[in-house]
Amino acid sequence: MRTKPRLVLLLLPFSLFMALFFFSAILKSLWTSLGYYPLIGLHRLSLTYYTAALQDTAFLRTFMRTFTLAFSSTFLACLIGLGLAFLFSQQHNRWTRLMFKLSQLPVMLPHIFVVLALLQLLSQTGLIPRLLQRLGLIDQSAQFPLLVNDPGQIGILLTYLWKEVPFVIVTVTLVLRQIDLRYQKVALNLGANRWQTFWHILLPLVQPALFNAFIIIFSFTFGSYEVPYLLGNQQAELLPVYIYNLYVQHDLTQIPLLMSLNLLLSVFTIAFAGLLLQVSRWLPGGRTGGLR
Amino acid sequence: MYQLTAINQKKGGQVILHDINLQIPEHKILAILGPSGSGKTTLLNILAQIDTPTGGTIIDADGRRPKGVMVFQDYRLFPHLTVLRNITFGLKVRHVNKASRLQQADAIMAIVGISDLAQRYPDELSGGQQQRVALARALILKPDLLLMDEPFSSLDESLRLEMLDFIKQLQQQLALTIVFVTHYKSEAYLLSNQVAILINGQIMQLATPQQLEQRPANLAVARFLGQANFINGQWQAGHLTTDLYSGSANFNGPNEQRTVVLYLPFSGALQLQPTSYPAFKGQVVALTWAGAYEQVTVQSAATQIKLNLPVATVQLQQTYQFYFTTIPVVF
Amino acid sequence: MRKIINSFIYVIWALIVLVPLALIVLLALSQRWAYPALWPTQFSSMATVLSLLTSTEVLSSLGASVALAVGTIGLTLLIAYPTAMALTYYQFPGKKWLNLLIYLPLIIPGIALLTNIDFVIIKLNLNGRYFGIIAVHSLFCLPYAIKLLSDNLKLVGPQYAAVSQNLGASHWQTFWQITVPLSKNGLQGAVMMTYIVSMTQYLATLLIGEGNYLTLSVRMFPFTQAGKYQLAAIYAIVFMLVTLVPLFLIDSWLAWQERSREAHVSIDRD
Repeated sequence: MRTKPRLVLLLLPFSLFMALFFFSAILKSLWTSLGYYPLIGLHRLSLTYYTAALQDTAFLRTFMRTFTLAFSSTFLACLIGLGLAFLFSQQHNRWTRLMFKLSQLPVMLPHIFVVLALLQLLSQTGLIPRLLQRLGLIDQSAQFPLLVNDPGQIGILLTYLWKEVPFVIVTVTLVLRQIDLRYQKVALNLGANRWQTFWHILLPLVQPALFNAFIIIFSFTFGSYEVPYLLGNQQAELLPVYIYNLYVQHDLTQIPLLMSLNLLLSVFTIAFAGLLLQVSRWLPGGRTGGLR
Repeated sequence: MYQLTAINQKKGGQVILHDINLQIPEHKILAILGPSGSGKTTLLNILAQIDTPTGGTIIDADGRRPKGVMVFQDYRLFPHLTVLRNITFGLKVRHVNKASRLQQADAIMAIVGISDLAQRYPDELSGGQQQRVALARALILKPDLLLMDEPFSSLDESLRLEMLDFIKQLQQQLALTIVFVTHYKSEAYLLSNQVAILINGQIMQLATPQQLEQRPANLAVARFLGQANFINGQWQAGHLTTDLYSGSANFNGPNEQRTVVLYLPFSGALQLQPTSYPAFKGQVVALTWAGAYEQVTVQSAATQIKLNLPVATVQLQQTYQFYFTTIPVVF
Repeated sequence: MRKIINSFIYVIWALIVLVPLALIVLLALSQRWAYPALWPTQFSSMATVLSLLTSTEVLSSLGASVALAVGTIGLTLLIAYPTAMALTYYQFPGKKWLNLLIYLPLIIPGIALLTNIDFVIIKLNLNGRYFGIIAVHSLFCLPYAIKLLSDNLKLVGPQYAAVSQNLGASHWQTFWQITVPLSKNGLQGAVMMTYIVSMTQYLATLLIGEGNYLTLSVRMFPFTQAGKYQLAAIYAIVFMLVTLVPLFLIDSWLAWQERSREAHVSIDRD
């Protein structure tokens, strides 16, 4: 019944789609990055653009800055999200259900939503500085620390947290609901206390889902354009803005370099995701999960 | 001896356990037998201290609460831990040092016969192996009570008999006190000489299998045990009237009841050898060989009953006079 | 004590989630809310707000958003469903890799993927076209849709399809009458997720659409950037109306259905 031709038929749409819109794009940019770009008369393959990219200190500095921001915001989102998910799953009552429902809201809204709210709240003429001034805690709005478009990327971090903490809550809660109280009961019966049950049983069981969420959030924050563009600081530019600016210059001679940057970043995030998956497999609980 | 006194459990206005008084003999196997929904698992969970009863006490001879460790119906081996780590989990959370943990685990795995599985994960084990691991995980804690929830229901026929034997043997070897619940009376009878019948949250009877079959405490127990004919009749002034039989009987029902049921178990209630309790004349209308006995359908007037009789006692189409082995029971 | 701390955290969390939303509603309703006022000094009249909400720009971008979302849902399901079936019910070499490959569009940095794909889209002459945009939206929706559907199909199992075929149904009949209805929950999840992902896309819509499809997310952007928060908030409100409200209604309806089904099943005390 489960015959080969049917399998081929089932996989056909995905294969076609990916070949047309994904792999073709990767291959095209691979050729271009290696210096094959007939449009501007380039035909010789070389690694010049890669060596140039890896020696470009501005790029490398931007890369490190973006990595640090993406990693720390993802890490914080996972930590806070995990904590809240456990808090909301401890009991099953009206309030915890309401909390879970609330947590679904930010997942459904675009980032620009929070950006808008944050600008109104935290910019130097925003509501919080106004309130502090009214309360006499600061004399003028300029005394309020720069939290949006700031070099410390606080605004971006807060935006990502508002969006991604709920994503972690939803992901982890769904796993916790599946696990139910089954294993908790066993552990308690065998003499474990609440903390031991959490540390030895529940955490390992949700760990794979948490790592998956980490990978998805990290990759997103690492490569997303709109929030850094709206809330970023010009002196501390982030990679997505850097690349987008390079792309929209419409300077064709820059395209091969851009493509090499793109591929380097893609290889990097894939390798990083692979590394995280390995860590997840190696940690307790890794055998029962992963991106499966 | 562990004494359960006045255990009550209510959930959401619903009575799940009602006034359970029960003695659990030490170093023996006690079976709790009942239909699904009778509250068996709740009682077990209370013994395991997973559930807290709304009332009542459980104490041993010294007045302490006994420690019960559970072997769950679906085993619930932690999926992310190896067999060895599953087994030593209870010791680990009690901060037993590693050397001692391994030593105890080796011993218990040898007893349970799973020494070669130590490094496997639960999803690599068969159902029988998983049950042995779950047993080892509980036994390593030397519980006062080993609690087993429907221990054989997820095993196939041959494995079920093997595990039944194994647990009997284990119980003797380690002098365990086992409480297990089941809704199969064959399992309860095979494993235990003390069977408590739990129906609708109440202990209806605590007796040996033989006593249960011959003298069920009430109609609910009789109907649950099944394998019997129930014949409707009238009871008046110590006299029973049914289509099948009229005469004296042993009345076991509530007081002043007129409409009653005559209880005739398939096995052991009737015979051909005369006794002082003549029953009825009936014709054998069907005969099925069932190994140790023959299943016989007897027609008497408008009533058909089923009996299990020794092989070759009766012949098809013949009419016989049947006798009660002892005075019949009416509920 | 523990209870007090928990309640405290609940309240803080609810505030963190709800204050931005409340702020946006206030922004949309206010005519003047300049520094240093803590509360809007002047509210717009209901008529003004309504006329803003139903202006041609707002309605046309709502139309664009919904049109793209609907197309994306169609294309995504068309691709994701058979893929999920293959991944759940068949064994084949490379399955493990395919399972990882599905997530690549989420793992590769969005900006790198988009600038690469824009190139190909131009080559295929799909730039600025409807199909080009929904294809790129679908690329980002497929990982979620395939995961949700295959998880659900795994739960259902292949046995009912086998029964159906044993009873004489064709593959096609089995698919439509057995497999699809049984995977209702997975489909629901996939549709909702795809809808959200498509509605919230910004750069993909702008870059591939070349300004031909000014969706709600795209229109909010320049207003926010230029400090015209009130206008941005109007779009935000429309966005909430067309995402949160329908999703909430679907969710409540499902919960209600679930509850009424449970009411028919007696409580098993074991």
